[in-house]
Amino acid sequence: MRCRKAKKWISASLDGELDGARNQAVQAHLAACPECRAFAADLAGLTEGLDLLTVPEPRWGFTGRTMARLANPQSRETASRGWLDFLRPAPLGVGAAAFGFGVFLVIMANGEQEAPGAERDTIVALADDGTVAALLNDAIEERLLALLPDAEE
Amino acid sequence: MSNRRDEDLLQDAGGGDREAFGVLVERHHRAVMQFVHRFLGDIGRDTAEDLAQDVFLKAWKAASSFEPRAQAITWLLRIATNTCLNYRRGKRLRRAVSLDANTEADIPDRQAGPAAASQAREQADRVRRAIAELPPNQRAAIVLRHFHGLSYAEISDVLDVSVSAVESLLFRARRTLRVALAENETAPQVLPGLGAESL
Repeated sequence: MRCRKAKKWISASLDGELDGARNQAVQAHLAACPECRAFAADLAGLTEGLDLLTVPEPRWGFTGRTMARLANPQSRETASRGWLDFLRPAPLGVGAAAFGFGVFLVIMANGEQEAPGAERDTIVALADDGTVAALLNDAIEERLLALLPDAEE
Repeated sequence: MSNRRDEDLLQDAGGGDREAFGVLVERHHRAVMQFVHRFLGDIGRDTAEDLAQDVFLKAWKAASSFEPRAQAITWLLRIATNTCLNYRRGKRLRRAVSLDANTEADIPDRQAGPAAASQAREQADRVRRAIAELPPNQRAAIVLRHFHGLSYAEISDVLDVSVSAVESLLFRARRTLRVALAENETAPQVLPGLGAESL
C-alpha cells in the first residue's frame, strides 16, 4: 500500500469509518511505516487542536424571535439589536403612555375652555373635602356587602 | 409534542403546524447556529443568530418537501450549509479571518489569568483562521464531522456527495489543517507532536 492511500485511510480509521479489510491493511502499513505512524499521531493531535475552537451560545429567546419572524417574515426581530434589547417591550408601554398623555391634554384643554359654573365648582369642592372619595368608598362597600352571604340567615 | 421524533414534527410543520416547528427550532437552534458560526468563522454572534434564523425560515417554507426517510437534522444542516455559502458569496468575504472578528465565543477563563486567557484566545483564533482557509466543502465536512459528530453517510447526505468523496474531503481538510497549524511557531503548544516533515 502506498503512503498516500494509507494516509487517506488513516483519517477514516480515526473516525471509525473504515471497514474491516481496509482497517487491517492500514494497521499492517502502520506497523511497517514510521512516517505514516507519525502522520496518524499528528491527526490524533489535530483533534485536540480543533477542540480549542469554541463558539457562542444563542441568546435567550431565540425560538421566540424565530417564530415571530415566521409569523411576520417582513420583520427582522433579531439579536442584532444587542444593547437595545431593553427597548423591546417598549411599544405597548409607549402606546399606553401616549394615550394617557393625550387624555390628560384633552381634560386639561376642556378644563381651560370650560367656563367656571356652579356644577364645576360643586365637583371641585366635593373633591377637595374628600366627599367624592367617600361616595366612591360607600359605593364600593355597598357592592361588596351585596356579594357577601346574608348574615341574618 | 416534545417527545415526538424530529421527522414527525417536520412533517407536521410541512402541513402548517407552527407549534411542531417551534419544538424543532427549540431542539436544534443551538446546533444550527454553532454550525453557521464554525463554518463562516469570521462572524459575530448576532450575524450567526440572524443566519440561523434564516435557516429556520427556509426550513419552514420547504418543510412540505421534506422526505421522511431523511433525517431532520441533516436536512437542516444542508439548508444551513447552503445559507452559509450564499452569505459568503453575497458578502464576498475575504477567506482570511480577521482578528477583529473575535466574538463572545472565545471568552477565556478569567480565573486562569490574563496571560492564559490571551493565549487561549490566540490559539482559538489560529484554529478559526485555519478552518476558514479551507475550501467550502472541506470546511463543511470537517465541521460536520468534528464538531457535530455526523457519520460519513450523514455528511454525504448534507453535502450531496458520495461517502467516498467525504472520505477524501476529510483527509484533505486534515492534511491542510495539520500543515497550517504546524506552520505557526506556537503550534507545538497547541498540537504536541505536529511536524511538517510527513507530507
